Amino acid sequence: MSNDKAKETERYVAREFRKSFSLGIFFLVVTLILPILNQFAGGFMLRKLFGELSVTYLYSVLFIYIVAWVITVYYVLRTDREEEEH
Amino acid sequence: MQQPIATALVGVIVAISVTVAFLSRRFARSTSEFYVAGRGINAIQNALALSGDYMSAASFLGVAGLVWLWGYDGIWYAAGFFAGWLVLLLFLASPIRRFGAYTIADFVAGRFHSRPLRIAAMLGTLMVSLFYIIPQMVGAGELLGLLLGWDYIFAVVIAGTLITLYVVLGGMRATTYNQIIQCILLWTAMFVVMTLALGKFGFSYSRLLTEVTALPKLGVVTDFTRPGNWLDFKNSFALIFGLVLGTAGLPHILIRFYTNPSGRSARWTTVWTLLIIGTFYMMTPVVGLAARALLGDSPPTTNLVLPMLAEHVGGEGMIGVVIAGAFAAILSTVAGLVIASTGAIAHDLFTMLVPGASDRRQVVVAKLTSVGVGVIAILTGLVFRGYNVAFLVGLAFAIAASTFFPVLMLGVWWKGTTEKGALAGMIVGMIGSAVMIATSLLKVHTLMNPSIITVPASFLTIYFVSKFDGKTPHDTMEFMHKVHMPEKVHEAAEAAE
Repeated sequence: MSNDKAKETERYVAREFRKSFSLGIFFLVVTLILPILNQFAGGFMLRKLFGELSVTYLYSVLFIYIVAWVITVYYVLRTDREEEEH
Repeated sequence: MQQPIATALVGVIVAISVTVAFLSRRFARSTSEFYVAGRGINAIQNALALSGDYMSAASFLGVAGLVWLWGYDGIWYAAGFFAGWLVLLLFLASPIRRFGAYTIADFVAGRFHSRPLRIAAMLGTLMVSLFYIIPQMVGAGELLGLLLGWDYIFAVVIAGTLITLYVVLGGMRATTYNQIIQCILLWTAMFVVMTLALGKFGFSYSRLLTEVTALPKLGVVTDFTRPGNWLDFKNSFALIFGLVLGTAGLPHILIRFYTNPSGRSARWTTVWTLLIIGTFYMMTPVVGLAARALLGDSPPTTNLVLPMLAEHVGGEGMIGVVIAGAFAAILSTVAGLVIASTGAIAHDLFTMLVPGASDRRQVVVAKLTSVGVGVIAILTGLVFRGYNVAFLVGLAFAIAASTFFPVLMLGVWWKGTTEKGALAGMIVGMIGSAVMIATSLLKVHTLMNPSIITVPASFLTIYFVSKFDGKTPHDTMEFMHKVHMPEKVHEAAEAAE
């Protein structure tokens, strides 16, 4: 492989990794912070928001899903656009 | 218990499965068709098939059962099973498809040109698949026992034989079409039960929780809507960590991306999959808690909570729908596992032992291997009778997360990874997770899911051994170019040549 091509690949991989890594870490934090909050902020997490639906319950059955879907659509549309422009 | 409607619906599934396999048999005459359906499965088809593959008995029966038993702590499984897909999308889906092989061992062996790595990946695939097959077959035995009053052994044998038959006849093409049908069926079954169950509470989620909260203390469970009834902080964190990273290491899921025509198609497959399985897992806590409120302690095991709830809210017709849905979940998942295991033996091992074997001979070996894997699936179902399916699948995720996720992540994204580093990391992950699980079952320690220790251990091993070794494969940049650059770059290069 030529040096130019190798450098171009390296730049492309680094850019892709920055994008995936930042979104992945954000989502892992959103997911893994739930048991931490349950442990160390139990009072807040058990606070009722709608009827009997508590913060921790809504977080685990709704919020995680919405965040994942938003990240998914953002990532795929952005990657499709970047691949088209490349 | 005799269930004529359920019997009829299961009969319909059996008939459809065999018919699809029979019609697809002409597509199972080459290795490309047998293992990856000729790479001609589009994004939505593959998303439905992947969802069917992924939503196993553990998802369909086990999660609702754990929510019924432990309340909030069972919901960790639903969230964890779902969340792993995003990791798969962001880091692995496109590169794996662009590499364009048949198995995970192909991928790691292609990256590092290493026979020992191929063997390690093959063993890892078999180990993960075996841990995953066990609970599916247990679920099949219990389910068909409930359905027809069949003996457990007879039920396991029938389910295993049917799955083996359609994998052998139609390969990945038949498996894909069956998984699509089975996915639609099991998602619909869960939706109908959830709707009927929620109807008992005036379609109010809050009212359901109010009634569950008001239930008297049961054993260690004081409130089913609060965390901590079953899993302490350490174990809840470890479980979700293992499930999230384990999804991205499951061989039977990863190989399905090879069936897409392109990396872009693989990404869109994941988008649709996240939508299908996300909506599915959002329903499972409703069903589990409704079962707690409506059935109390009456279900004899966690795996029978959903069928019994269906009977309670919709009578015999509904139990038929649920049993058919669960049967579909088991068939679709075990078929995917049989193909993954077959690839590990008939492709990875056989082509290594007999290089240059003709395509026709490889297909014959693949079909014979599928029969052998089917027999093993049946035997494991008989030995592990009575285990909770979601718990056992959680262990399979732990092995997958520890064995494959670190080596795939670093192999795909870090050019400094070396053969020795990858091999050392895989061995540490595989043996480490197996030892941790065994010692957990022997009550040596209280960590139920070992990934929180074994995944970082595997990552660190790969990193330090690679740094120390320093001998990266000569074509690392060619590999990076192949798996990361957009298809149109490759097409332009081919056109220029």
